[in-house]
Amino acid sequence: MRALLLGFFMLLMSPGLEASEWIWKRSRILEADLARALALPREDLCHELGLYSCFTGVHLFALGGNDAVGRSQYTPLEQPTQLSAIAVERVVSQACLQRIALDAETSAPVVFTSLKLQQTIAEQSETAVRAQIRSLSQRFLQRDPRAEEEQLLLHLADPQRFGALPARDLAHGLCLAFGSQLEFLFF
Amino acid sequence: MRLHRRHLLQSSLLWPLSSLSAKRALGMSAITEERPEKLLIVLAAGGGASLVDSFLPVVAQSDNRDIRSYSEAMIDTVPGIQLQTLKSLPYTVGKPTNTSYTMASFLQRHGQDLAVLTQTCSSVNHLIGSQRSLNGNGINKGRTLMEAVAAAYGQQCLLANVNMATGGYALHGTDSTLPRTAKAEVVADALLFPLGLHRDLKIEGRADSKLLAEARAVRDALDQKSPLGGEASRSALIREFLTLRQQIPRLEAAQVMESLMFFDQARQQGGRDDRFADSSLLQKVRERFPHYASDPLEAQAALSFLLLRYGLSTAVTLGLDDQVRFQDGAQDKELLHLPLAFDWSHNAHQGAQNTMWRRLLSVLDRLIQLLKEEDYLGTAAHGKIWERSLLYIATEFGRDREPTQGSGHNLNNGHVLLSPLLKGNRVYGGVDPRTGMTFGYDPRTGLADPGRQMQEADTYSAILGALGIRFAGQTDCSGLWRA
Repeated sequence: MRALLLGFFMLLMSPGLEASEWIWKRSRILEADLARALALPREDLCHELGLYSCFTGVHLFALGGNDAVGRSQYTPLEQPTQLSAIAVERVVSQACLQRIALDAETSAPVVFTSLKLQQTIAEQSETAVRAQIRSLSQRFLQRDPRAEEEQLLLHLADPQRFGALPARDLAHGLCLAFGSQLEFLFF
Repeated sequence: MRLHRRHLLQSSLLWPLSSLSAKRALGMSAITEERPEKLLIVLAAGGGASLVDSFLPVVAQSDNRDIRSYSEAMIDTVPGIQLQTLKSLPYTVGKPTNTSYTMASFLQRHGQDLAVLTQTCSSVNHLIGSQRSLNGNGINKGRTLMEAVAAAYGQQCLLANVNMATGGYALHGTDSTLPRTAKAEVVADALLFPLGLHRDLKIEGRADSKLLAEARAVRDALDQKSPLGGEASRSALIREFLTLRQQIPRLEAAQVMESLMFFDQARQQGGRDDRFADSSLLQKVRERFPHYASDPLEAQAALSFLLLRYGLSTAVTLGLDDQVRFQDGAQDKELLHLPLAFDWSHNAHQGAQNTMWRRLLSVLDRLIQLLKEEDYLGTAAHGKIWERSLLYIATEFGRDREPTQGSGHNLNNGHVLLSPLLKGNRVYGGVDPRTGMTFGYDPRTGLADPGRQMQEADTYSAILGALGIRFAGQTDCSGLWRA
């Protein structure tokens, strides 16, 4: 009992995760988490110009990866580079678009289940948009969105500004907003 | 005079791109003030590019039968050039090696700017040797040459230091005081590198740009409100990431991707995009490097030229890798690139060295020609790009002079430098014909000194000095610098 109390006391007193302990979700981990969030095979997530692998080729170093065999680079770069944030958004965008294209072509969508992807943004109900936001939040962050987060994301469905655009654009915007958040990119 | 927003942009954010077509699209005029910056090009000749197998050949004589040497008939010379080189050696590795290019043609075009600097390095380990060839064995607080140049001249450049090499040549230096802008952007694929310079372009089916801009604004607000937001703000790593993310619009506004995208649209999948309309300059680059899509070294040379031409970078590093490559020949597949690059020397020293030197010089020849032809920033008042450039062929170490059955690595060697900023067309130091070993020189006079061995720090000092950069502890190499 004493040991249990001591353990509880230490837990209360522990400083929690030190800021310096944040870890950059580098290439392979980002690839795996994106694949899981969007229910896509890793190899289908992102190819620049439709051909060239984003994760093992084009953006490998900007995403924090390294290539020991092909390029004798045994350790990854310590810090993000000038182009890391661009690389992240490109791979997230392209993975999102892969999923959107698949879901738009089927009667049984997997990720974008609430939006009617063949219609415009103006034709989406607020209930459907909120449901899609909650679903994406679970997929990317494993939690429900807070009310203020949901409210912010609803800006992307503003009928005055974006109503005439296809719902696929809304799907892309929501997906990018979740997939490029710090909460998804660091752990 | 009141400064308007446009003036501020011209004077600070975007001035390095003063001659881009994109700049014209933004309504910005060319800036013609004097430009002091110098440019460094490093070619990482991985595996031990040997000078006695290129520009310091040893002629076979009665008193040097035990060492690797060449017959008189193999020595090549060029009128008006004091340096010697070697004729082509026929060499096959199952398949014939490709190039008909001769080292003499390189001397003919660029011999006046070519200086051979002898050196005895401090390690025959590939990783350590490559790092020391770039950081002068730590003489300048651990800064690499490229970092030193980027720190001196690249503060305003969007991509001051771009590194396309591999292994130790692609590692950062160890000076913790180095400005962030001087750190190398390491490139995985030169051909496709421009795709990493914009968040949206060349992505098929992307959403409306205004909606994507709103999505990013929402994302930024979510980051602020996130339960992790407060914690994240205390993390240096995340602060760095956010700082870099805030700088993206500057890069995109400068239309860097459009200007550097030398990959011909006709070869790409997807529809034609008028933002990437061909310029005569891009066509010229592709003509000079016709194998850019299959040969990484040609792609690196093409990208290097464009980065320097537009003032985006002050230091670029190209590099050979270890991958064997083939190309279509007249009758059959030909070897374009030997496995292990210069390190294939383990197996057949003279043929491998000869093949790799000719491959490397063929690409460099075309790169230097472009730099000699084109104006810096596209403005005649700035002079030709080459006038402010120095090209350094870096390598880890030399090669044994006699067959050893071992790795063949040897500390004794030297480097090739090319620049109008150096007193070229000469060898600094020399080679003892009996042993095949190089000896040094007096760096203040440039005169040969058979009793002296030069070190990595001396070569490092000579390069930075020629580029007008001084640092504590620097060797005075004024005998090499052109006034």
